[in-house]
Amino acid sequence: MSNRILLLVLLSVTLYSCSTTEQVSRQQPIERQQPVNFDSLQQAPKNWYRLDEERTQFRGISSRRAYETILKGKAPQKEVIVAVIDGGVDIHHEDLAGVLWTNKDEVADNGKDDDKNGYVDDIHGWNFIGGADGENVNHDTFELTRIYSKLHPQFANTDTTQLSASQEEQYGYYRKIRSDYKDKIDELSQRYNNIQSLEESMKQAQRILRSHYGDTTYTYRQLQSLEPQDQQQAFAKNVMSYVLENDIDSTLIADQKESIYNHAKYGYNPDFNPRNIVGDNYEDTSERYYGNANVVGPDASHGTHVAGIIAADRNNDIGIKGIATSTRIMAIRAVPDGDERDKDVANAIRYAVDNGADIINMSFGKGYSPFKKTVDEAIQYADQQGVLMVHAAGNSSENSDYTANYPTDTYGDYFKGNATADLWLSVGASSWKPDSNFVATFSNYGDQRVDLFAPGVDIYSTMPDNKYKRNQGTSMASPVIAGTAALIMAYYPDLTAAQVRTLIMENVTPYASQMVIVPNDRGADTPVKPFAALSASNGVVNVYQALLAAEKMSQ
Amino acid sequence: MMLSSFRTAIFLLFLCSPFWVSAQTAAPDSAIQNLISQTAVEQQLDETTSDVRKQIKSNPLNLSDKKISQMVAQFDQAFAAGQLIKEVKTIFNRQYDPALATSTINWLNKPLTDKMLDEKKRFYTLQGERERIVHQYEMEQDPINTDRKNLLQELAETTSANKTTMKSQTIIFRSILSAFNKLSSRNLTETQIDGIVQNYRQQIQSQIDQGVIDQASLMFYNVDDKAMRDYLSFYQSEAGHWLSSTTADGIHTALQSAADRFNKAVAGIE
Repeated sequence: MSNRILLLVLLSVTLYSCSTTEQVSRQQPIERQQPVNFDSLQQAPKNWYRLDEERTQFRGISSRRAYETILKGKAPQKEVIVAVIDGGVDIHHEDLAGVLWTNKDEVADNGKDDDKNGYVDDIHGWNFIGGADGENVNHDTFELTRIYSKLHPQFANTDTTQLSASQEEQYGYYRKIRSDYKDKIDELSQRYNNIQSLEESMKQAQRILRSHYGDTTYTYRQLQSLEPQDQQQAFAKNVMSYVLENDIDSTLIADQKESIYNHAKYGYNPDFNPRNIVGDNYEDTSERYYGNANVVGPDASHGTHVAGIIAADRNNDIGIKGIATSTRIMAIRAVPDGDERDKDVANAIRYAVDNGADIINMSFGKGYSPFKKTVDEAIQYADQQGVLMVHAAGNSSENSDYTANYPTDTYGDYFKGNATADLWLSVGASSWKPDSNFVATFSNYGDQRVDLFAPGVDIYSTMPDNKYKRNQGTSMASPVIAGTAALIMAYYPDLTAAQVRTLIMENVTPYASQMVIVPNDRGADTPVKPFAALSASNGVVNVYQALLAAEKMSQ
Repeated sequence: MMLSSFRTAIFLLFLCSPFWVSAQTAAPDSAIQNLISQTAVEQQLDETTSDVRKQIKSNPLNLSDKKISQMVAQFDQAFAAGQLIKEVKTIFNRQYDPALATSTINWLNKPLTDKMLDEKKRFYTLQGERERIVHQYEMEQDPINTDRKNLLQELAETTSANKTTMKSQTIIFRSILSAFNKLSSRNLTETQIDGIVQNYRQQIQSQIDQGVIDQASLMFYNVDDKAMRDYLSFYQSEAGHWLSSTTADGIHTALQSAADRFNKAVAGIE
């Protein structure tokens, strides 16, 4: 318990007064005509990711420029369907209700499978993580927990002196899983402790500063000009500077705590199993027809945000504008709060393909895939049917060339497999900062396995109940690419999915001279690498350039 | 006849005596083993040392990788679980009281006690670590009532948990501080180290006071007040005092010996 403070005290003995606080100004208005001072800018404009760097200095995808120039006066030639495989989409949202895919061959709520596709009343999509009785899975375990839970009873008390070669291999695998699982529990515990410490420090610092300033209305600038008279004030200044620079408030702390709690209570709980809600024969991975028609689910925040980025209504003058026009969102629920299950992912992909999706967005991923073959077969099916699959590279700051984030385009073993899906794009997240922080700190990357980058930081989009919010993650970068592909397909319907993929890949903005901090290399020395070395395409998607090239290609 | 009987008796006694003697020595050993394992002493020590190991590995003073790995190796050797528990057993042997031990063992065998000790042992397992987060969050959302708080407070006071924890923390802190001092060439004098340790004690006192109660509230989260009161009443008894003071002495002796071994070994690192 108090061991945690042991080294803090050691540090305070030796390193006291070494502040790591940087001076950052708060919230300055953006002068579009003036050079943007990115050093002092705390938050980008809400639509930054759709802007053009030449025009605005923001490293967006130039979709606004494309609408104002190339697409001006042109009409889309096709309605594109993008399947959003996610945790649910708010189908009543003011900015999404008008752009939903509707299954015209199905009659709503009549309890019949009118179009005989195997799914009853699937008007806007399907929910693979709900039961026929209408109950829905919200939380689920992580795949690591499921594997641990399966192996632990088998191997926990193994007599290691009596193992055959194959048993030894299995036991070795169990030990690895157990070690990974333990690391996750330790990490969770550490994160919770850190948040509690921060919360406690904030309270102390606020008390100290309140007695200094007389109230709590002090500004960041005032705080920076404070010359501490004692250790307490120095402590308070450091803590509150950090808090203000990182926009930390009680809501953020409460959200973080709740998230950790949910992971501890459900995600990493080997005794938790909500699968009985679904009522399928889980072990039968060939089973396809289960679930219900509720594509909203208990928490549609993630999927709603994703859907808005792709195709929020561009013609209603409210909220935001999606990247694509003439695009319909097919909502497929397969991702709980926890890890999605391979069987559901495979079935969601097949549902999308069979019901006419042109593009599938997959803003999810996990480190283990016990039924990978089932998913591989579904991916191969989509690939053969000409459906473009867009996948978030993952948020663990890892090099995807060496670490898998499932599902992947590689069939079979991620490292040894040779065959891959052609119609696949793996997307990393870039930020609006035109400096060494250009790559999002959390983003996975990889010269071979991450195809390209797209904006994924401070992305403002739709949230349930007609709300809007900024979110970040490769989950937000992936729909930027899905939306881009949909836009190209809508205006150039003769192009194949493979051609659209090529157009996107070959027309990225390379930012050739940009040196960036590699996400997992953050540390004392913060080495930088060329941005181009972090993805196969070497750059960030550019809608304007891709459409110019599409125009040429389609002639 | 009488003589014969006497001889027979002597003979039988002679035959039995080695067993009797070994039974006399075996009984405390197994009893001590039972007491130690039932009260999760090994797990407590293990958690303490794992936590410190992690902190050394985090290398707060930016020592060279080589020095840190040497330091961790020496730490692991000095604080090896087997050695620590052996020293705890020595203290139990030294302070062994058959009557109090028997009372304690009788108490250990009660179903209510069983439930409490199962919870205590689970607290130190991997699932226990996970559940601590769950319970901590739930208690923040729905704080425990005053009766429960008073019960936990009384338990902490009865077992002198804060004093025991403070002493353990001080032993470890001084040891680690001395080791870092040696390896980082900061050249703090013994007097300076004493001052820092004293300062450390002052800083953590209130946290320890609250921490022991928080820990008990998490450890016994699933236990009702009836079982808690039964647990408390044992620790208020003579046998309970004996168990808590012997356990504390055992832990402190083990940690101090380990700290001495560690600092001696660190002195040899260049």
